[in-house]
Amino acid sequence: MPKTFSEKILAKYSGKSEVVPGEIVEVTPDVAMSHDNTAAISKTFAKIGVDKLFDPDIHVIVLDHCVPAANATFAQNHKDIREFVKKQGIKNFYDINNGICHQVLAENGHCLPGSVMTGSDSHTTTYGAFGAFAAGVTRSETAVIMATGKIWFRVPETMRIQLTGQFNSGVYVKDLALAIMGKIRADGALYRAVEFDGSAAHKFSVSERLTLCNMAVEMGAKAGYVPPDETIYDFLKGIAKREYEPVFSDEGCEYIETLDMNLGELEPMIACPHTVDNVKPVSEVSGENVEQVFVGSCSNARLDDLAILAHVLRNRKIDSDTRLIVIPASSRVMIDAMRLGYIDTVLSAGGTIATPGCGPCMGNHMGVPASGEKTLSTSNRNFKGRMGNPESEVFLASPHTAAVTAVTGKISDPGEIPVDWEMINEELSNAVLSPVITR
Amino acid sequence: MEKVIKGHVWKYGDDINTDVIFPGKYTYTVNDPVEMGEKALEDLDADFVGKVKPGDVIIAGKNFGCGSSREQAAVCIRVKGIGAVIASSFSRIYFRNGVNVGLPLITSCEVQNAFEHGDEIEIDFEKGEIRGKNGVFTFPPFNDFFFGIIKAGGLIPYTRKRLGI
Ligand code: SF4
Repeated sequence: MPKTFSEKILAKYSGKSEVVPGEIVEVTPDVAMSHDNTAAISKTFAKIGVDKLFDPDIHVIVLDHCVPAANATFAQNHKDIREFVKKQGIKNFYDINNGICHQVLAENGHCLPGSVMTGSDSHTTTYGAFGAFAAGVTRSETAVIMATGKIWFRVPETMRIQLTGQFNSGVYVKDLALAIMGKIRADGALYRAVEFDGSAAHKFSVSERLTLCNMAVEMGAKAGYVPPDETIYDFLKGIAKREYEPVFSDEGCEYIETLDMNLGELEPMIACPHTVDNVKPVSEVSGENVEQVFVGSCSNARLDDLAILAHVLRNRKIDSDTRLIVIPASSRVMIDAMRLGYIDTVLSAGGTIATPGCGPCMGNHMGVPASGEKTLSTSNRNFKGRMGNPESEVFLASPHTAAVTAVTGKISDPGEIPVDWEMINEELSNAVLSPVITR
Repeated sequence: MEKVIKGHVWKYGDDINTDVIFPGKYTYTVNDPVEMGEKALEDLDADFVGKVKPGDVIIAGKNFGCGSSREQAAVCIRVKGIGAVIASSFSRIYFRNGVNVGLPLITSCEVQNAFEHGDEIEIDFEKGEIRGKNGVFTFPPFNDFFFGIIKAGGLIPYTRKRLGI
């Protein structure tokens, strides 16, 4: 019987000839990611009563949620993690100088087609951009993976989102993700794997695929997935941590639901407070004052995102009553952005740059809004209190919408300051980008 | 864990999020399970903590446990004696948390109209039956794997047992 990619991957990893949706399987993941929460996870691991990790090489630990540490509690957390890493001989450890976990794993070749990946972080779905089966798990579960190497999964039903057409200018993958969210709502893909396919999906860059699969979890999905192709294989050349074998859905496999999206029919979208699925066209809320614009997070803070931002800001100043906080997704992105002059542009326009990491995305530090303030963010969540202050409001949109909003001080349609996407692409493909940096 | 539980129904609506099940402001300050129980449903139902009895059952609508991945939201109602939660759907991470802390979760869309707040209810886990004044409703019996975890009292004790610790 024809099978979906997740049925095939999970059958392979659980040693069964085939599995069906709803079945429970136990697998050993290739990668188990955890971040600053590794301190709490290591305490649960200690409670299980095993001394040594089942396999230190499957664990990848990145410090990113509050880097550099904002206070003594976070500092102690980081210290506990460094000690744990040393004691257990974990090689894949990325300290505070690297960037957001999801970006760091992608850049360093940990995300591979056909693999099973877990993360103690809900946005682990991001790795589906590489054709991996990647799902968020709980802290206790990561502790159990540390002890036994095992994790259970319910084999998910798969939903297919078929992407065709081409974006109009000023419309991006973020708008597509928000539009899907508005359509199917925050529980529209509950328990499901979401497969993004169609001619348009294969034209997306690695960065665009990462944004799309990152947002899949906001639709309730267990995993996101773009069938891997040359774009992915090229990216992985020379950096892949292991050999890999891509897995694809069979022709004629069973999808629980299929959704068609024509990119050419979309307009710039924005998620309004306080839920990700409270989505409207930007034109409906334009003119609303914002005090802060945040370009950052694992959703949209890669080089292409910063390029759009810089092209909008070039020879302009941001609004005098608005703050612009820019946090590149990783140190590597920051170095490239620096070489291309984007950082200079942001600072000259009156913006602020902070250390690569999560920053204010979940309200730990570096840009927590005051009560009554509105923030337009390129991140992925706008729940009440998400950025650290329940008395503030967060809107979610694309980097282009964010950039124009920073200039006007009001939520603005990206069309007000168009950018030449072809030219940006050209600029990025001609640039000599920095090699992966790790310490 | 008991094969059959008996108690009263606590009935709630759709999209009950983890913030009303266990308020976010306590996530880093309350670490003791018993204390967690004292905060259960604080922002949803002020009567709950004082009146809930072991064997009682929560019946809710769709997407129960949406929001954050905090485990406390499953622990807190478990320690107050809730024997099962029946909902038309659960958020994915809540479902994982529920199983992993040994809280039986039943997905059913039929019982919501058959029970009122406070009604008597009986659940037979082995037979997969929910019984009340309006009849008997069936649900697929738990998969052996889940049953193993729930019977052991959650994922950590289950893992210890498996490792022979
Ligand atoms: S950037 Fe935000 S959404 Fe992404 S991992 Fe960090 S806190 Fe989570």
